[in-house]
Amino acid sequence: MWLVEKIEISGGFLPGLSVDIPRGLTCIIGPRGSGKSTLAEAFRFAVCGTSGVPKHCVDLIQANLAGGALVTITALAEGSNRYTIKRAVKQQPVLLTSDGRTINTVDLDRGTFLPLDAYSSPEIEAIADEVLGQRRRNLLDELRSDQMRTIELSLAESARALDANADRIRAAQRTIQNLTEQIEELGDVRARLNALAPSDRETAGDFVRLSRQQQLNQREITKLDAADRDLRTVGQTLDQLRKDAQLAFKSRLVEEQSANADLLRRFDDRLAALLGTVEEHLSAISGQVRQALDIVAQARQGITQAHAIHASELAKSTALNQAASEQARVRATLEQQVARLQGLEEQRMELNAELKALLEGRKSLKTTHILMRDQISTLREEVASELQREAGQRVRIRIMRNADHLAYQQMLMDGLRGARVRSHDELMTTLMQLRPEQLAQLIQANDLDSFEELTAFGSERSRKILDSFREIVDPLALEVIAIEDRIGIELNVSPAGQPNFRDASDLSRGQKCTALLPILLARRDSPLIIDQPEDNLDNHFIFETVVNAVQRLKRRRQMIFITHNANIPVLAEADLVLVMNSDGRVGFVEKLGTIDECREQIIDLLEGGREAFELRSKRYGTA
Amino acid sequence: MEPPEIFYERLRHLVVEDPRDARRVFLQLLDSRGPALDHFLGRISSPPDGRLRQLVANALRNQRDRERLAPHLIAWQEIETDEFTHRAIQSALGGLDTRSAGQTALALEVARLTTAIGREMAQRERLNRELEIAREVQEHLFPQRLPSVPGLDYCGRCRPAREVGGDYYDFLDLPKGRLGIAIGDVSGKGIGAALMMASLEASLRAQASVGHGLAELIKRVNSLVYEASSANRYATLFYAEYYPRSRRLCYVNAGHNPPVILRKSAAACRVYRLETGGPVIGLLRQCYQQGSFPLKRGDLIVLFTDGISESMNTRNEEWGEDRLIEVAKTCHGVPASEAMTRILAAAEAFAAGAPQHDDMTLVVLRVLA
Repeated sequence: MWLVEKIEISGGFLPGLSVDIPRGLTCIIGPRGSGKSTLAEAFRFAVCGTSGVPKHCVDLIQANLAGGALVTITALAEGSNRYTIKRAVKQQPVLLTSDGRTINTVDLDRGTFLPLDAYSSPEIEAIADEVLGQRRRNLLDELRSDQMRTIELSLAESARALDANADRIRAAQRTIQNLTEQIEELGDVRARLNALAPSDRETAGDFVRLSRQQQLNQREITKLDAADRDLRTVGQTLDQLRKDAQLAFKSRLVEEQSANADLLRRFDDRLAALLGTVEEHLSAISGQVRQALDIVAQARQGITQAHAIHASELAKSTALNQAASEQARVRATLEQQVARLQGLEEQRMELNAELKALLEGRKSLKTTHILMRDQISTLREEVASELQREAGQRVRIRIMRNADHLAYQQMLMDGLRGARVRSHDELMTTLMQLRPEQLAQLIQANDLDSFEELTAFGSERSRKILDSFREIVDPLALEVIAIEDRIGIELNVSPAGQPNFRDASDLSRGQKCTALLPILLARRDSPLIIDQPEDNLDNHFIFETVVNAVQRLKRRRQMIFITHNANIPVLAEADLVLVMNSDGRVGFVEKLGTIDECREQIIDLLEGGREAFELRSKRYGTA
Repeated sequence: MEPPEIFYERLRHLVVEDPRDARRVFLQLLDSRGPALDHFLGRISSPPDGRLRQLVANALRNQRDRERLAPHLIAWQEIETDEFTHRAIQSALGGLDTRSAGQTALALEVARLTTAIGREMAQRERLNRELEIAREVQEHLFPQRLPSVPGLDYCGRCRPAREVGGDYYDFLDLPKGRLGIAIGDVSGKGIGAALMMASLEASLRAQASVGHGLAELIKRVNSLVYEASSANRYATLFYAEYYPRSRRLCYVNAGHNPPVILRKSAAACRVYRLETGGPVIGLLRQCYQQGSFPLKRGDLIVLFTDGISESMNTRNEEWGEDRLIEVAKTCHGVPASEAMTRILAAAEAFAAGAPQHDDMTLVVLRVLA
């Protein structure tokens, strides 16, 4: 938990502004164009910068804080550490400690040092409107950012492994296809050879042996190439490892300005000393890798000589063969082809074994990947139930697992289009009961029976659809296709009796904000800045969902609201009301104080002002 | 057969790794008709197990599978959070009309399923099935509201075990301000126990309003239950009627753990046990004796089932009646609900995380000073 203690602006549209911000709730009110939003955005700008901030907010800051206006924020962090942030448009921020020293080691814009939640009204609406997509998920994911990042990293890694695996599978499949075609081209040379009359000459046998050797020679070269390549990869990995080790062991524990610098320096030295040993080991391994490469090179040299001898023998034998009789020549050619066929078949067998191993490996890769994605949903469910507890009964937040599946749906539609069957909608409804990994397996195994059993499409339609999928859909991409959770944020719009929950996207502007506010309020303890939309908020909802939550949670976190509804400052007991105004050229703070001190302005400027005050006096029994 | 937890873990991975093989494995389990199926179905209701629930929804091959699995699918349908599973369940339940509103619908559904399964039971003598439904039946049998009785502070609670046991308690609003108090334990578990419990409750409620002496009442209940239930099933039952004006408690104890009465005097705390009655209900045609106990202001009466007194810790030690009485002694002068909370908390603290293998039911009455 931390607090904004003060904000100062030295120029732009709000020159000379300087306000102490209390703990609890601050409400900013004022007519249109008086600089309310500029002020709200100035908080965010100073603390978070402009990266990741919506364009309209950045535009506002650039227009209204141009010309070197400096925003200064004093922050009180955990315990009693005080920091000052100074930032001007297009300049690096300056972060100072209370005794005026600069801190360079913190990147404010990452939002982890002094996290701030700021929402302009278009941002709130965007979250409400985006039924599918990342915005709502971010709302939850940010609250478990560390765990999420760990999972995301592992997911990215396993996605890379899956991609690499898929590439190798595809390459193997292509090569097998290729080999099969070559084998088919050769035709049934064995039968043709057997049909020939037995030979009486020795040279043919020699010729065949040499041709067969020729095939083997080629494969030897391929193997040498592969060994060479693999060793070089190991060498590169080692180089990378050395770089990583240098980073990892580099002395960096010492914070130079700190009183503990000397204490930590010792440990830094010990770490640095270890690096020497690590490097020794690593260069020893590198040496051995180089040695291995040498050995391969020697082997290549030896084998090249042997191959050269074979080649010249073969040339001789071919010449001899040329001179031989027609029948002997035919036999020799056929024997050569049989030798080639045998070579191709062996190669295909090896590749098939490799393919099988790759597919088997993919199974566990895929399982880990998918189960890891499930973990994210589980984390989200945890966050959602925490938020739900705080947000109250009017608002409902729930995770619909795997309900954000547009990419999958698209892939299915593409597949169906090729199938020449009717009533796609109906078929889609059934197909969407199959998970991608399920369908991928059926496509890969060409399992018509299971497909028919699961879909009940009937045999003819099942055949057509499965064939089309096999043609159009890549099962390797399908089984790990991106599918995400959908986050339902719903407001109960029925005032009494049977609840009637409606998704935030399906609400009026004011209600959207009402549905989201309890969730935004409950998220965490850092300061919260909300720019409410200027729209008729339904007082009934405001009262029930927002006012109570603000009143309860303002003890836990600092809140700064730009509001157009009097209920929020008056009934949630704002600790400070800031009345903004402008003379057309610049904006300024017209008045600031308690609710009672600003009573007149609240009644003049906000809708429902008088009623809110009446309700408040009824509540407290005061006049 | 491998241990249920390991089977669950294996299938959880298999359903992602090789969905077809997972289906084959599950169909084997479905056809085995053993208790492992119930264990598995009871294990997979949390959100992350959507894939396994989908596996179940995809496994309905015929009407028999449907009858077997539909109760689970109906229960899951309401809470399903996974999109694919949701679709699969909806399509599996297809024709079944389950989408009516509110409490009545649930009650109707439970009734419908209970009769369907009861029929199957009668045909095949199968026990220990449909625990989910058994639990719902049981919950519907517990009193929904407490009649108010002058000078008496009382409450009851049942904490069901994972496999539903046959505990039962009830409060009856009787003529002339009397309160009927019943607690019992049906032998066995699952749907059979739940059905017998329902029959016991219905018989008792019907006979209690007629107004015979208690011994005669229990004799009639016994013969009704005896006729309606299978030969090896029985129930323990303690039934009492409290007369608020005279503060007298008349009771019959049919083989139930004797309830204890704690009476605190200046010197000590005396313990009485309510034992008069006869053997258990539903096993033999039988006569009963009525007991009577004059209560005094401040008396604390604790009725319990063996799930409480025999709750185990991880070292297989029993909590025991003595410990129960020790805790109850500390509850003098506190509200009945508070006494109940304390006793349950003490039993739970003793069990210290060991799995609860029987229902735990407790009724506490306090005569107000």
